[in-house]
Amino acid sequence: MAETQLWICELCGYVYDPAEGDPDGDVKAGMKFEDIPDDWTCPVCGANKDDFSQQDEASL
Amino acid sequence: MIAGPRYFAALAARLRWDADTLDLTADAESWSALDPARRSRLTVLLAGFCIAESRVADELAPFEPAAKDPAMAAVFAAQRADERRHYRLFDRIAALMLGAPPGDPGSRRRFVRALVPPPLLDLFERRLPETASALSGGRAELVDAVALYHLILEGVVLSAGQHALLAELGDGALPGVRRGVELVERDERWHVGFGLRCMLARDPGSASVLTLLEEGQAAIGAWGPAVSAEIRSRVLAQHRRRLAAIGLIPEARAHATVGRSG
Repeated sequence: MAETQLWICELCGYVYDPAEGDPDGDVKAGMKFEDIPDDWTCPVCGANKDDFSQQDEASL
Repeated sequence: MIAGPRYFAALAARLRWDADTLDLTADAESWSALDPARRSRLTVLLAGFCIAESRVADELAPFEPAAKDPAMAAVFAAQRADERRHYRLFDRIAALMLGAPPGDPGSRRRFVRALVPPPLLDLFERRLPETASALSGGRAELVDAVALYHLILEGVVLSAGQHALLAELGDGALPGVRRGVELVERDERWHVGFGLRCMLARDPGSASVLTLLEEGQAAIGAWGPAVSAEIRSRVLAQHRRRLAAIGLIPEARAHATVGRSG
């Protein structure tokens, strides 16, 4: 089974989980981080996609 | 999902900066030449931050023992170091630009206090100390104290003030102050994220979370006209969105609330 790619906002610690998406930010559950529109912002702190990095769950 | 305390501890260590090394020389020299109306707005904002940061630094103390989990307590300690650093910055600004007297910080705080809108003083000199005291005395839960401190005071009130300062200084005026506010704002982002983590760990329940929306609406006006309606709207929208993103309020309810206040 493929590992879920988690992405963390390096400014506030919010973790984007593709399984959940970000419905309030118009990102449906199941959308990969790479496919999220470039103008999407972190729902917790407003940071840009560039401020996110991939993380494995163990490091969180 | 929000990262765990180990992540925040590492983040806090990585972002550390020194409030005494920011060069404010050019800012001090150009302060008196600013347009009077602009200087007045900046005075309210900078004085407000001076008082707010001095209070948050002091009142965070009971959060550490209340955390129980040593990893969480360590992050509260790191946050407290940040708040002391923030206060140091705004205390320097008060001395150099706001006319606060040299000498002891207490005298400067008394001087600066007179420049701060009463609603802001009420939040940071009455509500916050009352809540911290209740936490210390076992009369309030950590989740209630975090809700006020991290989500309302930092996530709404101070965020609005930071946005207003950065907007005022977007033309390059007061470059040292602007850089300092950018660093403060960067710190506050993880403070708010950590606050959300604390809320999740304690399962606050829907009634208290809905109160957060109302409290944010009430608190955003504490700065008075120093913060524009556009910034207030943007900060409140972010407040709602972060609560929804972490599952603290249903997205549909968040949308409905945005619609009513938009």
